Amino acid sequence: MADGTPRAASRSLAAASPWRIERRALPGPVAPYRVAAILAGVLAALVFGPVVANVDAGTFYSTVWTATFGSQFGFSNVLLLATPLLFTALAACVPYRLRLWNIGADGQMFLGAWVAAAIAFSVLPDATGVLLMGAMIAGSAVGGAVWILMPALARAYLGVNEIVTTLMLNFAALYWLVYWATNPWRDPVSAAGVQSKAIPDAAQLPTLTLGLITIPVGFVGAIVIAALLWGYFRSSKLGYELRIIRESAGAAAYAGIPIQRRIVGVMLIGGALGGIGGAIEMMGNVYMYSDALSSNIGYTGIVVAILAAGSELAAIPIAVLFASMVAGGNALSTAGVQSNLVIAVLGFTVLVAALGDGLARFRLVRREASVPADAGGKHGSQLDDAGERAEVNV
Amino acid sequence: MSAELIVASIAAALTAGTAVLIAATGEMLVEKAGIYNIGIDGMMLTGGLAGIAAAATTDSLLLALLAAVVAGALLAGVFGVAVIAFRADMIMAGFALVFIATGLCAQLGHKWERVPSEVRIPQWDIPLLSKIPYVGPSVFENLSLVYIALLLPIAMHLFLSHTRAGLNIRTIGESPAAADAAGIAVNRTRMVCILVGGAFAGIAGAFLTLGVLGTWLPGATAGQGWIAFGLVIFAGWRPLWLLLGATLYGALGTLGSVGQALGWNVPTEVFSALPYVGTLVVLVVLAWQRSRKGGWSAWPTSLGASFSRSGG
Repeated sequence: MADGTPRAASRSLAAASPWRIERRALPGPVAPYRVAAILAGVLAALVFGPVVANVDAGTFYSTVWTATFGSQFGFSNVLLLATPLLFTALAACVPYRLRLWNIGADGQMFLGAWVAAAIAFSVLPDATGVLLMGAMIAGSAVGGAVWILMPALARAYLGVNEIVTTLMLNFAALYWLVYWATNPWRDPVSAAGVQSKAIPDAAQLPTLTLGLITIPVGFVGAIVIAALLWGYFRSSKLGYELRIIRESAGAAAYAGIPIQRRIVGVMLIGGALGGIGGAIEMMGNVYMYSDALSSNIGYTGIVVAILAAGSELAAIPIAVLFASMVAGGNALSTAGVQSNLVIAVLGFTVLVAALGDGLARFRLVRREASVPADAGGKHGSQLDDAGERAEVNV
Repeated sequence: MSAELIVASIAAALTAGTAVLIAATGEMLVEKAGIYNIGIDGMMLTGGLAGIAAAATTDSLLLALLAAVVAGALLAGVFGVAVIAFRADMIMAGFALVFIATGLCAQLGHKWERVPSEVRIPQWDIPLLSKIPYVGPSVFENLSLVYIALLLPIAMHLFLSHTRAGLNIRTIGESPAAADAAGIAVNRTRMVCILVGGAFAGIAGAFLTLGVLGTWLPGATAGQGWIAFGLVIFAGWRPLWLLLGATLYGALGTLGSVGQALGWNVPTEVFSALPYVGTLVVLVVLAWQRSRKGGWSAWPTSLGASFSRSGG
């Protein structure tokens, strides 16, 4: 029997300790496990970082500290990195409300930025100020949404796995970008790398300064959008419908909620947010249509969304934290460390979070002579009546 | 279009589809047991790097492939412990594999990056068959792993459909509770399938590094692990259909060089994007066809459902 040995082990363990592990009737809250996952990731990076990076501890910590929260320049840079990351995190968070995965934020960024660049280069070359920037950002939202339209429709009406489809479009978008950046919009002066000519000065976003800290306007915008989305889903009819669909698709269908349209809806919102992120990154940091617009920002955004458990509000501090990890990694990469190592740390946090989702199904209960009547509700006490069946074979 | 070009294109298409074919065959086994591991790309990277590293240190192809198998299975083991023992979310655990492998391999593989490997997967010209005009040079003068890869889905089909163990695995995928009642060790069998799937992905990665590229690159897989995941859906969970899917994918990947040889005036980016767009379009069109006809797919009904006796 597959479960024979672990079951025996847990039984002997249970006999020795006053605690026992009990299955919850419904999975418990995951938030504590997500927080634990983030802490584990940060701790792992700080403890094992110097070893894996093969630099002495003093250099490691001082480099990372200066590059993140320890200097005004470092902190400004963290905010700059956090800006597109928060957008891609939101792009994943909104579909995650229906437990759908938007893996395509990188592609949506490229397409959003493409529309924005097209507006700046060709459609409204003479426009300036708010009109130009507004048009670019609105256009980028449309671009990102169009880019996810096919996966959204295929998921809603045909049940095609959205992980595969949104991911495939990342690669397609990358080649789309390479074509436009190196052919029609080629930089006539510098031919190096995949980058277009610069976007007009009028299309470059301003920054705010707070003392010596530079705050990108895009970052403020991302925070406002995150808060608005969170509040809207919390209090609106749509948010309520999404919660019902997530808890029970059958009940939602019975209540007359158009599930398929809601699936398309959240995915399009996600795509639009990814598109805006691309335009903001181009207008506020990169200043040209280039593959530098996203170096795994879309994938990192998924990690942020996972650890935020889909909460747009929780995504804000997590995005800043992860941006600081990336900034630390980049600073160390001059010392010969691959900044890719940060990705491994992100993976570790996701793994811990995934374990936490499993653990949230259980709880520790003190072993007492009399079993509490409300142990796990009605369902739970039925399990208790069945004796050891309530004890879990991990 | 000359005969040489056609011959060369078919050979190239077979090679281009081989890695996804191997990885998808492994994933097919995993999914038939009711588990989906979307971390294929990570296991392929790990296998690819392990293969290169072992080849560089031991000069032995056999040990290199063995290292790839072990590395892929080890990473799959992490996934298996997470989803079976801890009942972790399969999608999140799969993602974790990709991230961990992408980051660690880029760091650990720095030493071998772009260094040509002395050990390569050799070409085999099959006696007699390779002498057949046109067919011989296009099919039977290939890297040795290509032939084995072509046999894998057939072996997987025979195993799943005609052996007791295969029946057990399919039962688990359909209904873990029923399988448990029938005395099948559900979680142990699932763990074995996950490990085997990881081993397949590891070999697939080693095929890319030791066979196609001849060196290590951090982006060696170029997302082929995800294509393999899509391929299983394309095949409708029927192993033999993987052959068609992988060949199609390989053909799309080869079209670029054909176009170049024929002087087509199309941007190269179009051809580069074609395998990915093609995968997407084919998946959608097939799903649309199947939604109208229905009943074709051999989808395991309990795919994604974790199992323990106490329910939940």
